[in-house]
Amino acid sequence: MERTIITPTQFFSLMLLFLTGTTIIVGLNFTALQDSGFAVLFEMAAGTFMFYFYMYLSEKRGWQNLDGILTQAYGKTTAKVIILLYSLYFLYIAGRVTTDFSFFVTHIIFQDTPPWVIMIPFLMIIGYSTVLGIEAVARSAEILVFFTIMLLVMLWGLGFFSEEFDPIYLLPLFDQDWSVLLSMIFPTGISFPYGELIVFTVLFSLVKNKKTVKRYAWVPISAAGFIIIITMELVIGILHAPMAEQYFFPFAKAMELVTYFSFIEHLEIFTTLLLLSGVFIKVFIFAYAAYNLFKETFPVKKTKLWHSFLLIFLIAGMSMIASENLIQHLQIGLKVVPYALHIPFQFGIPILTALVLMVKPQR
Amino acid sequence: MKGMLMKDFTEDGRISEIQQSFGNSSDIKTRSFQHPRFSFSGVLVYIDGIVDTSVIEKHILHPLLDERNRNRKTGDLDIEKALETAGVEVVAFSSYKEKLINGWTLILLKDRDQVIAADTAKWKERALTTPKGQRAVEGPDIGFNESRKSNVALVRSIVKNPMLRVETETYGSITQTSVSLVFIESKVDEAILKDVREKLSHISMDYILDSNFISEYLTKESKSIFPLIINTERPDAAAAQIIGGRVCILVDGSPYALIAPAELVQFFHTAEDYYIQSRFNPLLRPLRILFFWLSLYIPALYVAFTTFHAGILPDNLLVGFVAQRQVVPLPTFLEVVIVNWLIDAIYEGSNRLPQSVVLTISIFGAIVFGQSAVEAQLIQPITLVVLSGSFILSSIVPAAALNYATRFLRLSLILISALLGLYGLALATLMLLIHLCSLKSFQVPYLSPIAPFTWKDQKDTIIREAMPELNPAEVTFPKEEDPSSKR
Repeated sequence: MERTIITPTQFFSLMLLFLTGTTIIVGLNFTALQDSGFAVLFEMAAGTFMFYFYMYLSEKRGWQNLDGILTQAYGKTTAKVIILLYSLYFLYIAGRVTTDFSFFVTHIIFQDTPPWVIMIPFLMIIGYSTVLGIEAVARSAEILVFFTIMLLVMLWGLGFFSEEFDPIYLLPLFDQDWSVLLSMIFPTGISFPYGELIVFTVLFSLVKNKKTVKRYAWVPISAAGFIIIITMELVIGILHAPMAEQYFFPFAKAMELVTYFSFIEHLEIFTTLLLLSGVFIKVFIFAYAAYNLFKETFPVKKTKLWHSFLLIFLIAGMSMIASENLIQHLQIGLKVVPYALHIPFQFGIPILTALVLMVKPQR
Repeated sequence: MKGMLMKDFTEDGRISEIQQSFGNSSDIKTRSFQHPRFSFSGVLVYIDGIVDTSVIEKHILHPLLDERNRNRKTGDLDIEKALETAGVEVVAFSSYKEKLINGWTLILLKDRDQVIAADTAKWKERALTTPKGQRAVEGPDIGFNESRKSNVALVRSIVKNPMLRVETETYGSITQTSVSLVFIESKVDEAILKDVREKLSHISMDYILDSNFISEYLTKESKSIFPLIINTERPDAAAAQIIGGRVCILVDGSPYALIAPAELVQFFHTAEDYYIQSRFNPLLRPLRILFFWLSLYIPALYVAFTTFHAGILPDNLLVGFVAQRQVVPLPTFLEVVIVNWLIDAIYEGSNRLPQSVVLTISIFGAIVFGQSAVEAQLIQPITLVVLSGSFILSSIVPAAALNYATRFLRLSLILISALLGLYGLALATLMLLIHLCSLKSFQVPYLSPIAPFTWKDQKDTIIREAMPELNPAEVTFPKEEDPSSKR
């Protein structure tokens, strides 16, 4: 797509939506029961560190994108293979997020509806936004982040002050072993959502004021962390941690229980809106990154309309892989994807690249 | 004597050429004159009706024949100095058409090839009245009229500043309509001005009857339902926009001035926002924006909830819905669409019909809809309440241009929520958002200053801050650096 400019505010909005939108609704992890919040704190710190590491990699090479860095490190041919792998990885994650979303919607609003009914219109919106370009999406992120935060604060307020919320459930703290915490943090906690920030390395060259980004990049990351923690505490307070762990979508379940005067009810509908904005940004960024990595590496001269169609078909295809039902989908997400995909792509290759670049004399 | 004179000129061929080129139109008038003492004679040519004949008498004929204007010794007459009209030009004969058509009077002299043209134009124009469409409770109450010249004068009378620039060109091969670009040199954004000028220079139309002709030409690349140029019939509003660094386009024959670039929030700004102290009611503007969106979403939400998500509704509300639902024949969605169209029809009808018949239509609308249709169990009362509520809410949008977009959007949202319920509505909203974010009016993002967000331009966006905060008027136009990404 054409050379465009993203302001730091837009970049941060994208990051915040990317990190929170899906996590608080489909990705809350209560392995460490009441202490899960601490785990998130650690993940947040690790996430900040990792993002600065990615930024450092890019900055050292004149704010190049991922493809540029890889090409410098490994030479053209090897880099092409790695870039293609990254492209497929991003597409696959986009597909998985789409599946998360369609399972959630079929679970909450449209019971007994096949997931493709949800997926196809959603992917059409993704296609439409890839036609319009990242500029438009970055601007809409600014507005979406505003509404997301408003909605979240409203839901928190309604949740914390409701009769269902019981602070007793939040205690006792520091009850869990370090080993439990560690098993929660690594690898699932770090790789999702923070490790996925690797995709932002494809956007670095578009950002207008890189110094501001470098100085304040920790803000959206920690804001996202605190949003996740507050939501977690709310869910624990309403559902009780051992119960929360049992639900597929604990936040939605918790909000479903909250009612006021038997008139304000079914607040879980609003979690769908939160999820939609998060998933939209996430799938778009993954799709954009996958497309651009592919385009930078292989001779695709001009962006055409059918590229967008191809892109959404690929995402739809990826989302079908080993996701026949929710159980299988989640199982793969927890047991296979972090080890087989996240660790090499989020940590392995970047660290290796940093080492190679350190050894290799700069041109 | 007179006959002889005419004959001279007929032999000259110039008079007959003029008359022939206008097809011997009856309103081409000639008037010959001859000085009783000197050998000085000629013919005046003008188009009757668009010139001021008293000016011709007093300020052309009289000075020409007055002996006091002549050199005492030689008896020579310096015609250009003697004429008392504001505009006097010596032109080649070949340019007579343009001059005559613009209301000038040509003075053809015997034995002189050149033609002297004097500006005697007096166009018929409507007296200045209050603005028809954009009324204001308080503040200046004068509107533009159809004459470009007086409109420019109105703007100048508000902005008395030598930096005010007026660039006029004629467009339209048949109508020869003059179009003026008005801006303040020191304030205007150069890139936007350049863009407007370039787009104007590409205009090739046969006729221009209204500023909308120009507006559509300037925004022809856009396929959006949202207006990318704002129009106003208030000189004060136009002046405010010019001071804010925008470009105003005045078209001869149209009481609506065009303002470029336009941003979406501007369509919610009214003149009163500035003429009534904002601390009296700071929420007026935010409410207007909220009502606009509500008017779009209320019918769609109604359809979505009743057709897909009845289970989510609170019980006592649901009971009322179901009780009404049982007796009417059509599905809610169809009912909503039909009532929506009927309301549109009433609206159109009351716009077009003669004033005296409008009352009939509104009575029919009120009684047939409000009473009979419900009593005959054709329509649910809730549908009526929802749609009239939506219609009333949408009527508070000050810009008519946005109203057309509203009607289309309302219907589209009803359709999508009939198909996919709340989920479809959420997706449609997302799509609308991205669409709005992708729009640009003359390189300026349509949603600025909200997206891209600029903190210092928030003073007059959703809530107008007090005047001391707004002066000096400074607005920045965020633009993307790369012109190739224009849409």
